[in-house]
Amino acid sequence: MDNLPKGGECPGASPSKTISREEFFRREGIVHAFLSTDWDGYEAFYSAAESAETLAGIPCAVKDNIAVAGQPLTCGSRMLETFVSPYDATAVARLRAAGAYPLGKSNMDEFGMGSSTENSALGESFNPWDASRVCGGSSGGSAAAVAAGMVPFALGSDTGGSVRQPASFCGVYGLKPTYGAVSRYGLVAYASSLEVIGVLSRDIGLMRRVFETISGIDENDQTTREALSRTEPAAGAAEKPEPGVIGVLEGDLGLDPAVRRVYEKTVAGMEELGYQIRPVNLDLLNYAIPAYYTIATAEASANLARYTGIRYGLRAEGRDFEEMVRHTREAGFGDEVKLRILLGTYVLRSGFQDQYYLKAQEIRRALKRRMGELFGQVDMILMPVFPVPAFPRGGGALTPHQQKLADRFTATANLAGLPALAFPAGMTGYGPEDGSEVDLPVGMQLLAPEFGEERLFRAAEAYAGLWSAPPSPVEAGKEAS
Amino acid sequence: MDTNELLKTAALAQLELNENEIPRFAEAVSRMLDNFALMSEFSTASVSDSEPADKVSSASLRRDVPVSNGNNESLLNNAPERDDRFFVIPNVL
Repeated sequence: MDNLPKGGECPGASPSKTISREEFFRREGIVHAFLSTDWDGYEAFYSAAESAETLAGIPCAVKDNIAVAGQPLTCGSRMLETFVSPYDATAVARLRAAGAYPLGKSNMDEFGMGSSTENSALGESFNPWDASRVCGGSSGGSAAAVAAGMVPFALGSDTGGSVRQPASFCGVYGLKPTYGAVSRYGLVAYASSLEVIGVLSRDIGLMRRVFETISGIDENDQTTREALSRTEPAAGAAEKPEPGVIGVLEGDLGLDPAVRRVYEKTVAGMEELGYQIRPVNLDLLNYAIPAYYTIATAEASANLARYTGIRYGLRAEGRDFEEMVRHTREAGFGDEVKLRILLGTYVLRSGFQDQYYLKAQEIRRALKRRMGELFGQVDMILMPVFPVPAFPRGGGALTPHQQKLADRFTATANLAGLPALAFPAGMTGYGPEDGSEVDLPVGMQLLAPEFGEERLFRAAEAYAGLWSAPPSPVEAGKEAS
Repeated sequence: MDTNELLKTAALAQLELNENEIPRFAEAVSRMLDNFALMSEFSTASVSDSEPADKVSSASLRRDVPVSNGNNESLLNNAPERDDRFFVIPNVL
């Protein structure tokens, strides 16, 4: 039991670096990463934990759209504010079996719809580097909790970038696994053909162990698959592959100057590490946003049709059954959710399907095929995560519409079902002259062929030898008052 | 998108929009549909196969036998209104 913490403490930034319950809640008072916590449960749990287990005694944050038995499952929505999950998601059950404990449910944009966690109906979360800025989204609470050193890792979900974008904004690693690598059983459905449960951590070795723990076939999710083939030596193998070829996108990527500087620095860093850099053409990226939002909203309109006030969640009054359902959905959903349901219903309407939904599916098929062609030429593709760094809260700097358009680099991996890893790549270099007192982390992402997660972990580990993000001000206890 | 189209879509989606929401959502939906219109420039000539874009080969179908998960009580406890083992709803007739 040597590696388990004493009473009143838990592993914070890493399994070996404990923080007290008091310190945990001091940090929570700054970032508001959690919607609920289960410290009493954790303390009772670790006293019985077996130290030989893979993730013995390690607490984690679980995004509040992933089921943890006996804990709330709000999805950041008034619709499910009082819902308590009857069961564990498969990913959570596998973490428990490996000795980990779900310490709390982390905040998120309502039903995963957003890029800032400002769309949560149940409270706002703040960036641990600068509380005047967003922590990203939709897995913003998970990223903030990890970056504040409150838990060593967190689960999130990534439908169009919702793990990678907050990871980038908060200076941590964010993995979007191959579609089908991790069971979605117990993940509340938003856009079923795109979304996947992912991992956030500051420790790539821990992320690898968590990914290996939660992945694999699950009879409760028929889209799960075992890795098709192993093109990499297993983690820990003595023989390591040579650095391969990294594709970079041709043309002007339309990046904020600070993000562009970090992107160029990352390309140079990868070259220094021995990777060959090769420009690749991906014109289809121009269609990624309309195709992604057409498919995501269409699926959302179907998946969210289940919230009627009958079997669970909020119920509003109505003179008859139909009015009760309409009033429930009016009162229970926030603006962004309503917008996406309206859009999704519209693109599926009779007469519009060919123009929108079927066209989007054709683009998706072409993009998938193009990515396959590119992975015949290169081993990985390097892209920015988001065109701007963490933006100021309040929607003035980047409107909700602009936030959607900015998903273009992340949505590609979801449309093509590919694994992608966001890693801390550099800092903005901001100073007072940029209107910010705080230097902010910027992440980049690598994409690999299906089940190429190990390739991504190795590249990120290599890059960490050149540069890694310092602890956030909240973790370091140096936040601005 | 005009108000009639918006309200027709909202009715299909079982959403009731109030006076303030109608112009706001009409504008926001139109803006996204303008973006979706970009897709018309994409030539589909290169996409000839008929395989669904999101098809995945499945290896994990459950056996077709009934199982009990023992969650009935906790599921019913999440209902807005229940009566014994039934969900209570307003009259439908």
